[in-house]
Amino acid sequence: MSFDSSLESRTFDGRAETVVGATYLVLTGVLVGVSGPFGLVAGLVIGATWYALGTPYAIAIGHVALVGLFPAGIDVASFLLVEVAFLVILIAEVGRSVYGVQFGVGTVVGLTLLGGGVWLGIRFYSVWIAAGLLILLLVSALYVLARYERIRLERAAETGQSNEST
Amino acid sequence: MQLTHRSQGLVALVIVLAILGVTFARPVLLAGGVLIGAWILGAQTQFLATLTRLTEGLVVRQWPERSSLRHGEQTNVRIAVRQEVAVPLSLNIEAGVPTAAVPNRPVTLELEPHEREATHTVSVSWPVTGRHQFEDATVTATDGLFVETVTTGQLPTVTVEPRGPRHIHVGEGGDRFAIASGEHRTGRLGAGLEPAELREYVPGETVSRIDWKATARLAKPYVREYEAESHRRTLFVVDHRSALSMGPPDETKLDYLRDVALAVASSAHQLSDPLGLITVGDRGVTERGSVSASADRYPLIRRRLLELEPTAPGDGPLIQQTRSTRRRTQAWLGRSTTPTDRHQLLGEPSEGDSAFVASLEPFYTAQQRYREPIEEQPLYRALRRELAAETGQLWVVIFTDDSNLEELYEAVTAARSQGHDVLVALTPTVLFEPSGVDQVEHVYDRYHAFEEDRRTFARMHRVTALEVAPRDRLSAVLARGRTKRASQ
Repeated sequence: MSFDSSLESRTFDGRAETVVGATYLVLTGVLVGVSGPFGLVAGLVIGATWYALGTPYAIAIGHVALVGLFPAGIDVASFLLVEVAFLVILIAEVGRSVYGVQFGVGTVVGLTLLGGGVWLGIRFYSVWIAAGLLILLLVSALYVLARYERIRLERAAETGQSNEST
Repeated sequence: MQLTHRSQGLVALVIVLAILGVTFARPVLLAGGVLIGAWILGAQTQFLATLTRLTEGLVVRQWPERSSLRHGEQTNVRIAVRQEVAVPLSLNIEAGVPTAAVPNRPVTLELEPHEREATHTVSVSWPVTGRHQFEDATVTATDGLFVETVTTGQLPTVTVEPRGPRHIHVGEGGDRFAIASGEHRTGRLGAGLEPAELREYVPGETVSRIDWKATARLAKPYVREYEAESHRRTLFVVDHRSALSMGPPDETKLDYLRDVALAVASSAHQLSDPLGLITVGDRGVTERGSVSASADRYPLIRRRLLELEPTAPGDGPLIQQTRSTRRRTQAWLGRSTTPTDRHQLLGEPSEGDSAFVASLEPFYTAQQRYREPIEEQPLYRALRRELAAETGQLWVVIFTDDSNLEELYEAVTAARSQGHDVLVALTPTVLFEPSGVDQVEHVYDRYHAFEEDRRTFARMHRVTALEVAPRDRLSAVLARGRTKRASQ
């Protein structure tokens, strides 16, 4: 089990968990490949974090570990390889019972939006502009989705009321 | 949609990674933030889709087992939830129980992820009188990261009636009788709006009284008379002595009489009749308001009637409805004085006045020697005093029970003797006493005796005597009486 919330423990799907667990083995293998034996330690820590706290925390720990594994900076090929491994973990979440196709779509759109924003920030401005864009885009996207959901629910309620009155 | 602490923690994680990325000038940390942010947005999209599916197929019902009950009573309130498709959301449904209702535990229902239906019943008490409508049931759905609250469900109403008599019978011998009347015509001619008759003009009358149309038609001067209309000056005499406390809680004799008195007072008020009120307790008059047409009279009377409680038996001349007083009352109705009594009243006749004595003797036969104690009875004394102070004709409405018919008889006679109309609203004690089913026959016999008493009053000139009783109890007793007569 990878999540701490009781809700997720009640929606636990052993088979899907196994698939996600397997992707962490792949990630560990990639880390060993790009950074040597220390990659194995990093992979085990990331896996343990996933098991204890869940995927987002595992991703965070994984990226902090990358800074430690590559103190002089990571080359583009290694970076892309590791990020693809993380992406596979993210996509594997789709197979879990709580998250379905909509999760995958939302993740891909979010990835495009946030990734695009950060890339533009780094490419044309600086890291701190990119960081600001990341936070701004994330908060804005969360707000827009929440408002959209609210309006949709209100419209559904109005439709229900008008159906009852007729 | 709101973020739970957990999702807020994840957003904070993204911010921390961004700050670390800036601090150490390592864009790789921003990449981690991008992945986590995308994960959060994916989860939010998924929650949105699941929630839409939930609201489309969710049916929440909330209903009380009884929609009409009395103040302070309890009823079960049920809440049931059913969803067409099981969703991976945890649901908490809270019934929209009105604020005035007091459930013995929270009316909430928990639905685990993938559960499709559940029902929950809670006992709810209703301490506030009135009509209470349920509010929407509140459904709180969460997947651990996001929370949303939607409202749904029916809005049933519960009517809470105040405690007190529910079905009041006002009538004669089991037949219902309307005591509220319309406009009062005096039967006399005078000023009014309703034309009564035409008569020839009498020299000396003012010319303005001539009906010129009739005069032209009949070729003689004619005067049109109108029926005089008047307001009926109404005096309420309400007995609230301890004997009227008999009966179940909130359904005592006084409660029944109070409701009838309120109805009569309301009717009189609508007709702008001048009203007065005397309330009589065990020790005498507890409230006195002379007959008046002032605007505040009706509200005062109404408030006083609503506040009226039976007085405690004090040192007043309380007469309980016991077997002995019952016998005495019955004796009074068919009374006959002994020859000794008559001689004492008339004195020893001399030879010269024997014819006179012979003429008077039958009248004295119908007398009874209870006048002195009666003078001390509070109802009689209060009415006598009020009638002495009043000028003009009254409609005296007496609300009492059959505990002390001698006193009532004298009070009614006193009112009649001064030319007043009298309405007596009587509660039969027998219908307020606790008694089992096996005693119904005995109850019927006693009710029959009460009815005889009531008829005695009703036969009196200018007197209307009505019974005020619980309708269901009276119906049961009368049904028993019919069965008894049929079997005989």
